[in-house]
Amino acid sequence: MSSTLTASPPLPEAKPKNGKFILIAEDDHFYGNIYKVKLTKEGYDVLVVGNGEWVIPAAEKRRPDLILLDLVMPSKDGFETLKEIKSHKALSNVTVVVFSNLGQEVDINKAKSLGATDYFVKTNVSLQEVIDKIKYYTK
Amino acid sequence: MPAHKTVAEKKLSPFTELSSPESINKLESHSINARRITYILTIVILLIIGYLLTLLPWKADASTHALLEFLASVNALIIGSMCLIKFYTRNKRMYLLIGIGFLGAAFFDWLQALTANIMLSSISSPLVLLHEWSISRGFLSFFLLASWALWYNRAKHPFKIPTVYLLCAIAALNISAFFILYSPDLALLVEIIIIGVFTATAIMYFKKKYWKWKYFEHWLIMSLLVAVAADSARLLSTVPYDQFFIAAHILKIFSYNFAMLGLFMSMYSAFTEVEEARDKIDVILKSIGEGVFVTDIEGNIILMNNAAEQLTGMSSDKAFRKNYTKVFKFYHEADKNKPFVDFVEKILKSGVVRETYSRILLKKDNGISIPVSISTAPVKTHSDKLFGCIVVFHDIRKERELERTKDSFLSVAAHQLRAPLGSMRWNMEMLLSGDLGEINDLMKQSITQLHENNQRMIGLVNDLLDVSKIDSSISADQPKPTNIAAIIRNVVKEMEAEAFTRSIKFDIKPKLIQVSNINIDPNRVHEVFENLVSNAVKYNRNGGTVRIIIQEKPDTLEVSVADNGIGIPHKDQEHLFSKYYRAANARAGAAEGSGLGLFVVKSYVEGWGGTITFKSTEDQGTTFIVSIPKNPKQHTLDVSTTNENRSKQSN
Repeated sequence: MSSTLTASPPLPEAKPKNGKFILIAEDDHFYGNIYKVKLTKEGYDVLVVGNGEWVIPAAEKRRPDLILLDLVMPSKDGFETLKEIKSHKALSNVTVVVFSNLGQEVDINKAKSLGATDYFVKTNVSLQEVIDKIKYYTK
Repeated sequence: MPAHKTVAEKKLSPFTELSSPESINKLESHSINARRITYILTIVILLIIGYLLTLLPWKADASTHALLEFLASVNALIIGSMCLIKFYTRNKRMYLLIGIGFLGAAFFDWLQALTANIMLSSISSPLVLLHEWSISRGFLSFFLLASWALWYNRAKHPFKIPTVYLLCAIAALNISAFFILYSPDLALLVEIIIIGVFTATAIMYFKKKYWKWKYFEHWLIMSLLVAVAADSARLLSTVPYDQFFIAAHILKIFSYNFAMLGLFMSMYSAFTEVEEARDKIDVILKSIGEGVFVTDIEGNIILMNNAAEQLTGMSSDKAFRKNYTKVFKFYHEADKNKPFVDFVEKILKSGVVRETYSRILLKKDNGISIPVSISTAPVKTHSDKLFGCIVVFHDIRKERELERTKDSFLSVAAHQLRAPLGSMRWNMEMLLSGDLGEINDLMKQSITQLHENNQRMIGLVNDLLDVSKIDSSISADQPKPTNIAAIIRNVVKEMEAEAFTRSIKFDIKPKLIQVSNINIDPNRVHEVFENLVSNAVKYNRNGGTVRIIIQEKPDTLEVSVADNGIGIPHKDQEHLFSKYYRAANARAGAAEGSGLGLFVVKSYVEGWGGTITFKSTEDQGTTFIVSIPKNPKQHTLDVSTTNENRSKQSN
């Protein structure tokens, strides 16, 4: 049962666009949809890619102000992608925040050592907290 | 009817012969038949000898008498001594009495040998000679009879050894006195009684069920039969030094010899039993699948089994008497360069009953390391004296494999469970915040309930992960020189984003802190302060402050983390550090926490040998004070125990 919003009824007032671009790597379309709806409402430009492979091309096309990275993805996982981003000439200093449902110490340490600025376990943060953190990192 | 083995021997030991009930019955009947034949044969031979003697008139003299008595005395002395030795080593009291009997007989025979020449000249009647003979026989017969009583009643030993000696001494004196002092006129009667006693003793010893060449009781019976013959012959002697007189003395010596033979037999069987027992122990040890080695009190190996040889690659002969650290190369799993030693010394010093270690590696001769689990225990003798340490270790590669499989399964399972729960949560939060359109109160109520239940499920998944992580002690202690202040600053940095959203400020004193490095696991330090600081933020009021003060003291580093938030209600303060406990006001707040955090913090801090205390007032705030020794203890975390100590409070 797909819950993807295609043509949505008019949403309550969205905030004015703030010109910031957030690139999100997330293969779960439930999450993807939530990100898109909520962040757009907050005034951000949002692009959700479902695969690690599409992150660099999308980032090269338009430099993101923040990348939200899931870890478990098909074809190319978040760790691989993170490595690529951080060794990319132009993109290495883009803030990358990992949002994943993996939560073991080894995963957190690995992500941080690969250059992630922060790490959050999706289930353990509220949507509002997500927005707040995004606001903080796109200051 | 008591069994023929003593109570002590009934315990299952390598000395026990295990045979089935049917074979025992067959053995019984077979052995009784065999015995009957032997005794009957003996009696027949004795009768024949007796008859032959009547046909051989013969007379000897006093010096022959003296010689024979002297020989008898020497024999009896040897037998008596051997019996006493057997008594001292095996603690079977029957041998004490038999020994006394023979020693007494030796003494009296020796007296007779000395006075043999004198005797003849002062004899008034043959009865006097008979009286002399009967002293030694009477003494022996009494004590052999008494020994049977102890043999029969092996189970009950109400008297302690000194009492037994006293009683024996008194008995010996009395019996000697009786036989020495009784009137020679009664000698005939006494002799007949003595014969009766010997016979009765022989019959009563017949109660022993099994018959094997090695059992002393059967030689004793033989000896008694010959003794009866000896006394009978003596009675038949009418003239001093006739053939019956001499035959009696010779038969007396033979009866002593049967007893001596019996003692030699049991000595022989004792030696072979020891060998058999040793073999049995060897076989048992060989078949134990785990590596076993035993050290003496200095840590030198005195015993090692096959499995240990295989697991280390060194043979037990080479290992014998070497210090165990030279034979077994154990290492801490966490730090492959750190040898795991001293665990034997620890047992030997403390006498602690058992200690188990996991997360240890054993390096084999060929360089390969295998994970092992080690169990140690002290070895004490019956009198509770420590004589060494026994170590049992086994290869846990399979268990590790299982652990890894379990861990990866958990990781995958948690992830899979979290995904739907998480997106459900955010969807509901979007609905509640009106992002998807206005909702009426009823809708709001319903969605709120959905959200709460969802939160519960998320919490459960988190708890499951936390518990399994801790119980399998994945986080091994890896101490290294660490700057604790730097770690605290990192923790604060990580919390900044979250604090920022609620306008909570951090205040770290002093601003520039140079603390000395402490040899401690940085990950654990991080976890401790992450817990404390995140609590200080979580349970703080909006716009509040988290104040961290780091103080270096001579032996410790003291850190206080204070917030001015909701505080901890007094009644919850007791349980604060227990596994899974969250105070009621915390649960009511929006923040989640599994409750395990402070439990882990306390375990770590106390594992280092430090202390953690707190002060709290509801609605005003909480201050936690952690004191870490500069020389922290290194322990592997054992959080799986249900040791829930009450938290300490200051004020």
